[in-house]
Amino acid sequence: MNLSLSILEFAVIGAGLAILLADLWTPVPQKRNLGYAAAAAVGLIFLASMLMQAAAPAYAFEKMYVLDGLALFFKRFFLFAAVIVLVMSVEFADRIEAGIAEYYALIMFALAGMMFAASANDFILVFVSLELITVTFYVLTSFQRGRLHSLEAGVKYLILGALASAFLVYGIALVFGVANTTNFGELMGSARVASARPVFLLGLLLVLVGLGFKIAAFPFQIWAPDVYQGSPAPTTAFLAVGSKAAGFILLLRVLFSAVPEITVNWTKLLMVIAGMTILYGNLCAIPQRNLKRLLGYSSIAHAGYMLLGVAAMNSAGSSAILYYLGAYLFTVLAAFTVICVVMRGVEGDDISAVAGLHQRSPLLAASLSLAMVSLAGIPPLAGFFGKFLLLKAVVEKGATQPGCYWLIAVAILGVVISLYYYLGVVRAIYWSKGSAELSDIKVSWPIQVSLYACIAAMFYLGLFPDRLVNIAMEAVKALKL
Amino acid sequence: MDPVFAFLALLTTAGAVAAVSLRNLVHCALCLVVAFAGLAALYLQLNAQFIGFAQILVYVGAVAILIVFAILLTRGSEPGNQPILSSSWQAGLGVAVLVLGALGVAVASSFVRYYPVSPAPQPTVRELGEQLMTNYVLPLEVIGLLLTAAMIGAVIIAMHEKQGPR
Repeated sequence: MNLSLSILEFAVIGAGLAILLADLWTPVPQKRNLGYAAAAAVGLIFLASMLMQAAAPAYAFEKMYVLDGLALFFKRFFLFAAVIVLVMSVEFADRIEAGIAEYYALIMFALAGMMFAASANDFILVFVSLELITVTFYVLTSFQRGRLHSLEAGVKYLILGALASAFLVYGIALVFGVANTTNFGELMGSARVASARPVFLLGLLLVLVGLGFKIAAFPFQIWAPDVYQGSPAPTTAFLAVGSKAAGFILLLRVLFSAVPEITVNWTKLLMVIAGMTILYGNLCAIPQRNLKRLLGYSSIAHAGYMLLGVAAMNSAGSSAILYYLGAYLFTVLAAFTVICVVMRGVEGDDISAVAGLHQRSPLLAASLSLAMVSLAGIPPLAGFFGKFLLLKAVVEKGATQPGCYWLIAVAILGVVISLYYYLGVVRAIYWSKGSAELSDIKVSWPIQVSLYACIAAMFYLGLFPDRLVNIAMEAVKALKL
Repeated sequence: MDPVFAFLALLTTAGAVAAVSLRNLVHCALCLVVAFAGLAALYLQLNAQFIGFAQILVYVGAVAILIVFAILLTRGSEPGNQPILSSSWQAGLGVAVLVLGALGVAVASSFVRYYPVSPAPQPTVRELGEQLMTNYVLPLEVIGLLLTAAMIGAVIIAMHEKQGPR
């Protein structure tokens, strides 16, 4: 047993509890500033994670917990996302009636759940960490309990999330019933024998349903737009980035580390899911006027693009997912930070609220436009290179699976459709006429720092992608591809 | 018949019948506790330790208290004035007999009867506890964090506030 492997998680939990306690001694006007303390603590843990090495996979807790390159990559990813989300929630604090310190603490608990998920090597830990993430998000989505939209989002997420959890745990029970183990390492040994039993395959399929819900893949995407629209902006950002990435790391681990022999037979299924998810997300995003809802549909489409990398079933595809997530992180966080600042006092988050934004605050306008352009996948921004890598991986697969070329056609069609609604937002920012509100927007310096960081990262990843690509290639060596 | 089993079965059934037939809701809830406890004792008598103690912890401890609280917080304990028996009790009885018959036929014709009963594994509470505290301590701790988060969330969402939803 090696406790020191999970030191990062324990540090995050400890910091979260410290914030909860500090709340008791903090005078009310100062409470929102606890968020900066939380962000600083998570930032320090992020820096500490940079010192950690995981050349060879190290196990703890009877091989239930693994620390390898892949886990470390995702831990850093979650930590960085949480820093920006915490800064964003300080900005959001005046729109939450009570319990802002608890909001920060719950974000950190969700972060701990994501970090455990990154290291899960056993179905028990998969289930428990996913539940920690999901239960925390039930609360985070309904935090503005004075707003009906927020409560609606919370209730919808609760009901559908509970259903998905039921599928997941039922699937795990069936897998355990046949294979007599929940550990990924032992499953890999027995999967070939167990795959002759239909019940085992049914169990895995149900696990796939549970994870498909987390990443909002077709046909389990129904909850995403409503929940994205109703939740407080920092929650939505964390849901879009953290929760989705947690779903993807678990998907990669289950498919390529627990049962790789069975996954190879599922190429067609994964291809169909990827194609449908891309089309659904992009087509439904077209008529949206609510900015958060639009990003909800767009997040479904992006889950579809990342599923291309899963369906490609080669290390190029999986490393492309990691790169894509890295690019998606900065892009989406920039977009939601701007939404969080601009939508103060605006009911409905309508696109018209960003009209004339370039006169009110050039920085916000530039950030949101660059985020939209990057999401659409236009060079030289990070989003372009992510899509390029994913398509390249699918083309490689196409040599053995001619259906892949259809999938590529669908993906490119999706990109073309998405140009319309992403550029619609950019047009609203710069060229829309007759906006009612033209007063300057004051942007606090922590928000400025995080926006500049996101913009710099978007350009850096787009212009010099090789560094992250190498890291991603190194990380996916932990998978059996 | 084992006298212990007979006593426990009688206690459980009596508690269950009382729970549905008494007028005062608080009395009903307390009779439900008796039925739950009798069931737990039956499990223990069958040497199923874990499920017995889980029954006590979850049903007697949590669910019953929750029911009592729900009654106290919502409609008060005054008895209602509707009749105890629903007007369509004959139909209900018919459905109950049908379900019992179907279950009886299913059990009687089940293939399980033709196989020798395999010796069931006997995980004692002690072994389960040892596993939870050694190999599975990490998931256990994560569940602890989960419950903390859920409790904070419940307080936050249910907390009294000045203005209503707008």
